[in-house]
Amino acid sequence: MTAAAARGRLLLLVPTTSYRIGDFLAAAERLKVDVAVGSDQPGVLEVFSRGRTVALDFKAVDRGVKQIVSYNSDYPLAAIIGIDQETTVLAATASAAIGLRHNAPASVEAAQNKHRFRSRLANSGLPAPWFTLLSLADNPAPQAALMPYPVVLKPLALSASRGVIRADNPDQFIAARKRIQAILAKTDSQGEAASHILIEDYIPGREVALEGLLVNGRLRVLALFDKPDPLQGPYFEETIYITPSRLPAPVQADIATTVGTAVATLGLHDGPIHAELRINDHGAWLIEVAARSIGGLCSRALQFGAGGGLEDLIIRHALGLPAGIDTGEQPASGVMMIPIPGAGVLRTIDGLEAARAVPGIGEVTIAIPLGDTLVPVPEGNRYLGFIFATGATPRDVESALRDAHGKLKFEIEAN
Amino acid sequence: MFIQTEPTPNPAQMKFLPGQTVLPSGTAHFADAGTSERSPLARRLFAVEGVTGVFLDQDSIVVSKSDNSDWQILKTFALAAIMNHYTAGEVVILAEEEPALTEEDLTDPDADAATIADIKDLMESHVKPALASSDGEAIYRGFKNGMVILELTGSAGNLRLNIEQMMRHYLHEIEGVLDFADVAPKPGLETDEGRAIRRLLDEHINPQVASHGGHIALVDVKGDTVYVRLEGGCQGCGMADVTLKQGVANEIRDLVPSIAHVLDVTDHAGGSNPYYQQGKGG
Repeated sequence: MTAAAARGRLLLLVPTTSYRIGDFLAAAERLKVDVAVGSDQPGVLEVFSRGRTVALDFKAVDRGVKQIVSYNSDYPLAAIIGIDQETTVLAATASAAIGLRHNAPASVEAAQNKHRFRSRLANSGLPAPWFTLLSLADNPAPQAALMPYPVVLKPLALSASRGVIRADNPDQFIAARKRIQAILAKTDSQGEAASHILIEDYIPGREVALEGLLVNGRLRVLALFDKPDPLQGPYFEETIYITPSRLPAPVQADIATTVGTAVATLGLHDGPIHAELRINDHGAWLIEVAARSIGGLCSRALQFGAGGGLEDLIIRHALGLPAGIDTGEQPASGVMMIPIPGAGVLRTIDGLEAARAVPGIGEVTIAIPLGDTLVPVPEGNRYLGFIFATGATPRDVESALRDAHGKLKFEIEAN
Repeated sequence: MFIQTEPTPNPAQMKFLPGQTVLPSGTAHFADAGTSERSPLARRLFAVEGVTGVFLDQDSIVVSKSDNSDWQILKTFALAAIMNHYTAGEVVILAEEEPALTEEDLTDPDADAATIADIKDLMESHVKPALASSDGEAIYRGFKNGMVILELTGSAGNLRLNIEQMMRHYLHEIEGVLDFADVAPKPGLETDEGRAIRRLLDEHINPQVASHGGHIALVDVKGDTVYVRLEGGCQGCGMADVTLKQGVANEIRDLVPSIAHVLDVTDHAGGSNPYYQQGKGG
C-alpha cells in the first residue's frame, strides 16, 4: 500500500465533456493511486463501481459539497482535484469542508470569474486594461456609444476563447453583445455569469501561456508557451502553443513575476495554475489566471523526464507525494489545436498519414467524428483535433506543426 | 493511448513506454527482422527504416537505430508502429503453437475466383498506391462470408474503413473488410478465464452499457492481459476511460485475480455516435 493509499482516495472532479480524464486516470494508474471520478452524470457502470465513480451536482455548489462530504464518510478522501474550469470552485469548497489542503474557495472563484479577476487585480500594480461590467438587460446603444474602442467583450465564466469578441466601433459592439447573449443562452451559465459580460480594452501584443504549480504559495513555472499565431480578433481561436518560449530571458522573468504577483493577490497558493498574458512594450498584461491546468489535450505537449506528464505532477502534488519529476530543461515541444476551417458537417479528413509522417510529429488526434457538425469560434465549444510535435528548437516544432496541418484536408458540407 | 519516450545512455537507442504491459514477464530481444517473426510488435518496428534492434521487457520497448538514421524522423514512425500494434489488439509475441492461417483457411471453398481476382487487382491498383508513401502495408489474406481479410500493418491499420468503402464501391459482392488480427485464432478466449470474462461482459456489464447505446467486446485474453473494444456509444465517448478503468477493469480483476491489465484497443477517433461528447470547459 502506498502512503497515499493509506491516507485515502483521490477524487477527480470532471464533467462528462472533459478531454482530460483519460490522461489523469492514466497518471493515477502509473502512480498506483486509489482514485475515484466525480462527474455531473452517473457513470454507466456506477452500480459496479463501489464508489469509484460518483454523480455530483456541479451546478449547485452547496449540494455538490454535501454530496462529497457524504462520500468522504464512506470513502475517506486524501485530496480533491477540480480538473476543468467548471469544477475548480467545487473542489476548493469541498476540500475546505472536509479539511483537505487546497486553495481558498474565494480565491478560486475570483480566478474563475473574469470580472472578479480584473477587480481583484485592479490595485495590484500590475499592468491592467480598462474594464467594466455590463448588464445584458440594459439598452446596448448607450453602452456602445461610450466604449473606448477597440474593446473586447467577454463572457464572465466561459473558457477557451468561447464568446470572446473584439469590437472596433459601436455597430460591432452591439452585434457582438447580441451574439454573446445567444451563446450564453445555450450554456449552463448561472447568475451574474448569465446576465453580465465584461468589457475591457483590447491589449495589442504577442500572447503567451504559462503553466505553473503553486507550492506553499511559491510559483514553480513548469512551461512558458509562445502562441506564434497573431490573435487580433475579432475572434480569438487558440491554435499553436510552443515551449520553451523564444522571448528574451528578461521578458520571461517579467512574465513569471507578473503571474506570481497575480496569484498572490488572488490568494491562490496551492496546485496547478494556467495563465494567459499579452506582451507588449508596456510589459506583461494578464488576460486570465485559472486555478487549473491547461485545457484540451494540450498537456500532452509537456513531459517531465521519466516521471511522467503534467497530470502525474498535479496528482503527486495534491497527495503530498515527492515530485519525483524532472522539470529541468526539456526538448522543444508544441501542440496545435487544429482550427475549425468553417461551419458545417465534417465529411472527410484526408492527409492524416501524411501529417503523421512529417518529421517531428508525435501524434495527430482528431476529436470530432466524421458526420458531426463543426461550429467555429466564438460559438464553438469543441476542438477539431490536436497535433503534437517535438524538435531540436521551437522553430523546428512550429515548422513541423504547420507542415503537418498543411497536409490535412477537411471536407465540410455547409449547413 | 499515449506513448512516452525516454532517451537512454546509448544515443542509438530510445525507450518507448506505452503505459501498458509489453511482456507479462521476462524479456525478449530481436537483433534483426529475420528473428522477429514471432513478434508482431517487433515485426512492425523492423518495417520502419533505420530500426536495427528491438528489446522488450515488462513495460517498455527499447528501439535501436542505425548510425545514419535520425531519431527526429525514426521516432515518429516507431511511435506509429507501436500505436498501431496496440490499436490492432495483437499479441506482442505469438505463442509457439499458434498455427499460421493460410489463404485457403481464410477463403470460402466456393468463393468466386473472378471476385478474388478483382479484389487482388484492387489491392494493386488502389490500396498499394495509397499506402506507398506511408509506413503501412495491407496484405490480402482471404475472402470469407463476403468479408475481405487483410493483414494491416503500420498506418494501414487506420485505413480499414477507407479500404472497405473503396472495395464495396467497385465490388458489390463485398460486404466488408476485416483485419486479419481480428480473425486470427485467439485461444485465450477459450480458457476458463476467457469464458468467465465473456460471461461477465455479456450478462452483467453489457446490459448496463447498453443503456448508453454502447457495447464492450472481448477481443482477446493473453496471459495477465485482457483486450477489449468499446463500441457504439462507448466508441469516442468522453467518459470511455472512466467506464473502462473505474468499472470494467475492476470487475474483471475481481472475477479473475490473475488479470493485471485491461487494455482498450478501440479506435476512438472513429466513433460516430459517442454518448458523451468532449467540449471546452466552462
